[in-house]
Amino acid sequence: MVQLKQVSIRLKSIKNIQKITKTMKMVSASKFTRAERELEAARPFGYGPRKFYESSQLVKGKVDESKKEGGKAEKAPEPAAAAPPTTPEDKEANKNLRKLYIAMTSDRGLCGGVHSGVARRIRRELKDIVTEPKTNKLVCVGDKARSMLRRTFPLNMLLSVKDVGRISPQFSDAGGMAAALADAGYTFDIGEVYYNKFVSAVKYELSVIPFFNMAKIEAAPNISAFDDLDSDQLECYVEFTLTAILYYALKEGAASEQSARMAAMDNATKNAGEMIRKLTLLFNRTRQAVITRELIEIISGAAALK
Amino acid sequence: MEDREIMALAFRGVLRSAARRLQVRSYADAPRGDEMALTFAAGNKVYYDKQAVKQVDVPSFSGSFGILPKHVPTLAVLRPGVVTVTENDGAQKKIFVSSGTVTVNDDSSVQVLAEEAHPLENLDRGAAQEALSRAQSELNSAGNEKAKAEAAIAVEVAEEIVKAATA
Repeated sequence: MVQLKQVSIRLKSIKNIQKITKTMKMVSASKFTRAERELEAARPFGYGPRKFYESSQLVKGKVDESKKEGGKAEKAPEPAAAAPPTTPEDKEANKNLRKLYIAMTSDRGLCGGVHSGVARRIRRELKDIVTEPKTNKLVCVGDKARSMLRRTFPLNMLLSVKDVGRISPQFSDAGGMAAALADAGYTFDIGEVYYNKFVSAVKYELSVIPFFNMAKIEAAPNISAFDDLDSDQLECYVEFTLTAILYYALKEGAASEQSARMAAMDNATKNAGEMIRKLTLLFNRTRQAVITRELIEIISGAAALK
Repeated sequence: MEDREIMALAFRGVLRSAARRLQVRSYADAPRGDEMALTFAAGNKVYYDKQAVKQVDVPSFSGSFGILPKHVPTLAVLRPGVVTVTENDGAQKKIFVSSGTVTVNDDSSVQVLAEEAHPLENLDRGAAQEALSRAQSELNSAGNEKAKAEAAIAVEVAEEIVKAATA
């Protein structure tokens, strides 16, 4: 027989948990509407650099098409240098390429597989290639990516950024990150930002935006079509572009995270409701059983006295 | 008599459906061959999203320049100043930008990405003056090279805001 007291304690705690998840859902819903609105303003920051990659033929594939088709084509604009090496020279060049991986997550959990998806993808990418700590570096934005990746790739860690996700990211946050990256003393050739691209309130997709250093842009196949550039300006341009990409990825990540948290908390609330229903039934049954047992005891006691 | 009426009705129907077919679906602001699509965004707001415009004047570190359709592809870094956009109907919009980049692509599309951008009418001259004097005192009291450089940028931006707000 289940103790009545135990059931009532359990029921109470689940009711409290449900209240918490419900509140969290409401909080993330309001944060989500804000994040979505702000994401709209940040979209050109992602579009601009990718458009330039396309017109300078740094990246193969069209930007506009991949936007319409959504996620499937999103993988198409892989950086030309990172495409599967076909000839031995390519392989050799690829090995010497200093690559930078940026994992875009946040400090906060309880939002489904948003962060672990990013971490898993990076783990796979780094396993696939030769994990030379000298040539492949990792930048973790947000505590979640750091805690998930630091044990697997302690030598590849270059930088980790904290305090992401508490408030909605600003352009200056991206600027600070880019500055920290520049100060870190690691010269990369190409890099990739792994982030969750927000599609709709119930859907997000893991996406990758490549970025390049100055030499790579100067060596782009179609750069000759562009007007003469002095290296000073190009350097500024490259740095600002990186900041813009980071800003865009932060915003996309924030919107996907809030939407995922909303869905996760909604599910948790539903599950708690289900448990409450079952436990209430059990509680009432147990209570009824106790009353019946007491009645039987009284009646049989009275009968025995006769 | 009746026949003719039916004929007329049918004819009208044909005309109408033909007219409907002639309405080619097109965005009013979709760029055509000799136009340029401007994307102009800042951290706070999107001003133009792939909208066709006549001309864009931007201040850059290699000097201010105007961009017309079929401009040679180029990259440039914005300096603080006023971006003037001439829309297709001739209306001019002046927007102050603090910093950012300009990209002109080979398909005549232009991307202006700014860190901060505000329409000229939103600038307050008094506040700008105040910011300028604050930045100048910071520049004078700056201890190291980095702080000095940062203050110098702040002074430059504030000066340009004052200039833009006065004009």
